[in-house]
Amino acid sequence: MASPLEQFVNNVRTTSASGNFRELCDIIGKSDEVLQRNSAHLNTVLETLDIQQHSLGVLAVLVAKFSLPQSNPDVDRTTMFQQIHDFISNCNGEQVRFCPELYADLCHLLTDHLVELKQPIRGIEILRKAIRKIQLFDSQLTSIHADLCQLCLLSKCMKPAYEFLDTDVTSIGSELGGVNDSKHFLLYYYYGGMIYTAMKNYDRALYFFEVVVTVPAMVVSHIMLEAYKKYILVSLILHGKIQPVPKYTSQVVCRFLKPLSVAYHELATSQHTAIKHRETFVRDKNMGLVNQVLSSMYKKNIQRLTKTFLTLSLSDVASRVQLTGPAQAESYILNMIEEGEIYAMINQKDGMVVFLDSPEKYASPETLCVLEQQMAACTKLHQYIQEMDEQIQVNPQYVKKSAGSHDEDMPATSQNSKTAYSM
Amino acid sequence: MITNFDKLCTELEKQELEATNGVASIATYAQLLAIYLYQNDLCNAKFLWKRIPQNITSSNPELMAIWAIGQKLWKKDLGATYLALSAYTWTEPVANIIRALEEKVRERAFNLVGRSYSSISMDTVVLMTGLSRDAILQICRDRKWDIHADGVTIIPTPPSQPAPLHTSSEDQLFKLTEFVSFLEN
Repeated sequence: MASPLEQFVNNVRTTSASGNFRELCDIIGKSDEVLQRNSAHLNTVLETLDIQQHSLGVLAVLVAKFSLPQSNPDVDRTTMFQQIHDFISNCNGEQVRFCPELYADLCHLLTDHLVELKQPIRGIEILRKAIRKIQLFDSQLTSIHADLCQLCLLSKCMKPAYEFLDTDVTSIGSELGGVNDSKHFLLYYYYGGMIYTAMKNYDRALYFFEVVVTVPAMVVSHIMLEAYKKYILVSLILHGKIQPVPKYTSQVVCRFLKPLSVAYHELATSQHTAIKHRETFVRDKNMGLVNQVLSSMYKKNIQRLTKTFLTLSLSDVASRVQLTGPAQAESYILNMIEEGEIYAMINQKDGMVVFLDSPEKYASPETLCVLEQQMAACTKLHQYIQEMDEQIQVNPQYVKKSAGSHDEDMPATSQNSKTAYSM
Repeated sequence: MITNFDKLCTELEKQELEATNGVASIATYAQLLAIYLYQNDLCNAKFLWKRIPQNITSSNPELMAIWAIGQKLWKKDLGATYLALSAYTWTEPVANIIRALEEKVRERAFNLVGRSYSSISMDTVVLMTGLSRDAILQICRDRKWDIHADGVTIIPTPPSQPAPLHTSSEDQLFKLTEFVSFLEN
């Protein structure tokens, strides 16, 4: 009599050969226990299966093997990285797409393993390959995106995440949601916002944190709370004030998150809160951002001066903005001119600054290019929305509901017409 | 002198990601750090420095010298940058990148002075460009900047804008037809 494990291997072989992958997915779902009980033999099973032909089977075995607790003597973790690396490089993308949850689970196990080993940088290339294999198109979000961002942040190597962060998401993979709730979705945008903040792309970072904060919610999540705090700080750096959250934010934000982040709200009004609430900021690991907020206050004050004055002496600038002297004022203004945050001319001989209007006349070919790009983006967005609208219109549930309410109207009208006739 | 380091940059990044045990060779780190500074990508340079393991950075004076330049650039301390650039005798292939970096920093400084100052003292220009007075006088003549009668102040003019890019009229017609058809529907 064949043992359950051998049965499993045979099933994998026959269903893979016949191309019946949906059935194979069901079998795998039921064989979880079998695989976990036979942990000692999993290595031999792996040797009998081929990565290319039996990708789903190998995937199931690998997930079962590495989800076993650490103390299990049969599982050898030193080869874990190599095995998962080989699998992801060689597996058959079409097969694994039938079972995206398992695939994502494997990536999560790899991420946790590397984080423990404190070698997160090794996982970046593999996860990039993994995402590309399972994505149906470039702008689909998977739960592996969150893992990639986590590894990038831990290893301080941000560039590889850019190609994923810069593409706007238009569809969400099927393994997100369901059992995992929204954790990986929230994490992706939270980590993505942190990466953009580290690279000083505050505009995009603010957008990412806003996405986390505006997720429909009935209860508060820690991720949302941390994202809300960073949202306040980045908004202060970028705009000098806290941008109000959009109207479609759920009520939990106002009711629960605001009282929990009092220190951050106070920072907008006075700079002394930085010292007063220092422990809160350090505990939340946001002290670096708080310091950036403080230094951006000087810049905002200088920018406000441009609205009132046409020319000003450097010593006046220094006293109004509370800098130490005209030399520091000059260096601040020079830096702001270099970054493009202000338009001014410094006259060093007289110690004066002339504030100019933006020389942008919006009449050049570059402006036309920018305009064309924006229009093309709007057209594309309109197309997406139309496609989504069509998808909903042919959705059977929607049709039933809208037809159902139509039916309720019908009897009433026919009665009306009857009464009309009888008259 | 090669000035396009973008390809080299992508190659080095790939090498770092695929290195065994997550640690790449010293040459990779040194070149990559120098290229990030050349591209004025100070954020990436800072994170690269943070992720190079401690034992490699402390045992390698060239790496430390490259990062010293990075620190000065981060603080926008141009005078100290030039000092740091000449403080160390560079080895190839890093020396190539450092030479290009020095020229680029100087070029940026001149453009900035041209854009932001209506009159500036000679001493400040010496500080910002690391050149001698005579060299600066020569460059002023080339860029047609006036020198005040007292020989101390310079009156820079803003740098001329580069020629705008030219899209073909066919491209523009195509774009126009797309927009109009979108608006009609």
